[in-house]
Amino acid sequence: MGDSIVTHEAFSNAQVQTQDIPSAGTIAFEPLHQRHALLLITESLLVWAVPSVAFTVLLALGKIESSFLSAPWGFLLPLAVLPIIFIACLLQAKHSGFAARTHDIHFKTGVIWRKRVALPFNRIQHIEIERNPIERAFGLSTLKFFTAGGGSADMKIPALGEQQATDLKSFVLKLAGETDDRA
Amino acid sequence: MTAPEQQAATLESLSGEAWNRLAPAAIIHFIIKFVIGFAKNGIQNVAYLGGIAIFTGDNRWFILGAIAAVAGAALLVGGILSYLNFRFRLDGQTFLIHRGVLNKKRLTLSFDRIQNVVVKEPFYFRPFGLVALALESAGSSDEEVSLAGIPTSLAQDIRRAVLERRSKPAATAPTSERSESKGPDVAPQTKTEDSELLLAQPVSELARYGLSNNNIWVVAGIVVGAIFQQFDAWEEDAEAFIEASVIPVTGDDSTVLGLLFAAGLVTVLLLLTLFSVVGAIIVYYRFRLSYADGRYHRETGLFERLETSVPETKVQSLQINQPWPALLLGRWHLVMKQVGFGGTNNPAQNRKSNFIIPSVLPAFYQALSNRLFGQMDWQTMQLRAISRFYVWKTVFYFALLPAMLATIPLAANVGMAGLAPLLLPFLAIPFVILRHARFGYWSDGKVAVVRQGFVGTRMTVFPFHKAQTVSLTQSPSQRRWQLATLKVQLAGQTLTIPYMPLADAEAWRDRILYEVETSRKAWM
Repeated sequence: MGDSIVTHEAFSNAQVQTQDIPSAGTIAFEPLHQRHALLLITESLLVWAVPSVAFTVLLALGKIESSFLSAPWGFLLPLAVLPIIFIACLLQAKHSGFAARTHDIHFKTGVIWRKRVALPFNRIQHIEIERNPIERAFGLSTLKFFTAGGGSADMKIPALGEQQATDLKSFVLKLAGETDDRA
Repeated sequence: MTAPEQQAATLESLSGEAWNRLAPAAIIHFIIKFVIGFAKNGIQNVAYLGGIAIFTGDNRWFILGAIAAVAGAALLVGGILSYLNFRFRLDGQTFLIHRGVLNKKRLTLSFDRIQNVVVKEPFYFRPFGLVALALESAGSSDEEVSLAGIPTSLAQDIRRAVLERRSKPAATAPTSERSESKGPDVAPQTKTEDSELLLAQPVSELARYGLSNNNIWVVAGIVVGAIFQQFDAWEEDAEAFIEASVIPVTGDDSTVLGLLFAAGLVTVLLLLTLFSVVGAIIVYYRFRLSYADGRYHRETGLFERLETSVPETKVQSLQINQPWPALLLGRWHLVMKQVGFGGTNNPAQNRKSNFIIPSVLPAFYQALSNRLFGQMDWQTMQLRAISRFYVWKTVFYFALLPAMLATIPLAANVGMAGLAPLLLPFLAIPFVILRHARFGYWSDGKVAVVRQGFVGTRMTVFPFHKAQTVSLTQSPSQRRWQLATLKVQLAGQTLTIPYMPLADAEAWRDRILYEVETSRKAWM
């Protein structure tokens, strides 16, 4: 992490034409694992289960007084949200993806607010593979990249197959090591 | 461990097998540190003492005296124990420090992880010829090492040894035009004679800084908040005081009372301003900024001379701030931003990594920016504006939408008066327009300038090759209008340019990636 400069025998500093700078606007993103949507749905359902159960119990005990909900179909109300969850998770999975180039890695996410993060390899401080219990159940991993930019991970690629995550990690680390000039 | 302990005197004695102690005067330092720590973390505890003073009746002085005596004894014992438990030595290029009375801590800090070497000269060390040497690392403040109570000569030796280790790479770095005039082989030992004075601030400039930094308004806000919190309790007393003491003198003419109130407010503001000016002069007295051997050095302080230095390669960006009072005075305040891992949840860390240069003119900040990041064409620089959509979208999402949501229940309950929140968007528009007008960006492909603000401005100059990540976000309407919000993350801060034309945002992203990936310059 020293700021020494590697001996650069072949250092050149020719002017670059702006059109010669590689554009990251047109890269083709690889989709995440097929089970990504399933993972998102499971996680969302678990979160949604908490208010649903609470609501159902309260309704069954007669603690919620409303003529609107008095009919038996009141119990079905929490289920009305399920299609939204399914559609949102499927779209979310469809719009996520990553792409690795020789010098940087990109990640895109978001259905309504679409975000694309770019992270050059030579700024990576360390990489973590994380598997929470649900991810483990689906055989998926989250790859987290850290730079000196902030305290939390600067880029998180969720829902990679376990082997894929390990491979991508070592691939990136190898390239990061090659491009790292800070002796 | 078994080696005998000694008092640190020279660099050689540090490097030996034996552990070193600080000078005994360090006990004073530890005691003062305890007191400050107590004051910072538990000023409300003082309220209990007040409670005791009020409720204990005749014994109060005895009880308070006893508390004071016990506290004093505890401080003294704590100070002595801290002193006895603080040992350090040098193992090659690594500091080993053992400290702590109850929680023992063992620290290792290697030279190349040291970000900053600060020599402090607190007034209570002056009679002994001692100083406090703080070695700041990039990590958390827990890892920070402060050797408080070592001889000045030793502190200078350590500093030189650390800088020597650090400045070697910096000297060969293709940083700026100055390396030519100096040559890469300048011996680090001669650096004190060699240093180039960049700026020495007279008291008048410091007074300007005191007048125009934003701190007084922050303090004023806290004071007003505190007063309002206690308002209920004080209201009756205040009314009684006004009726008993003020009205008999002035009469109960509401104009007179109003004027009196206004005069009181103005007095308070003047007092706050005065405090701010005096504070700025005390903190920044005899401000000197110099450059030597790849590092910027800053000396400040009236009671405590503080010497801070930052290697130029570690400067991530230069912030050029002009808060609104500074607008009136025609001055700018600069901050050299260093790597800071603290983030927003660690303000102490952030403050530490701030290297403030108060009250300068454009000629100075332009020259400083040029020497930090390379020549820029300041004369012809035209910052580009962000899209007008910023105004409408901001007003819509942050004023109109909340106002409408608030109006519905209000109107249902209180009728027409409930529609009042709908005025909010109209009031907000001028402010959002101001903010929109302050946003600006410029780049020559190597160095970039991002400006933001409200009335005052903050310009951030940073070289593209020091960026960490870049991200581009688009909402549906931004997609429709070919706009994007660009976020550039630097080590320790994030710059956001909202509603930038998509073409510009993509060009910045591509250029930043290109610069980061091809640059052979050190970034930290």
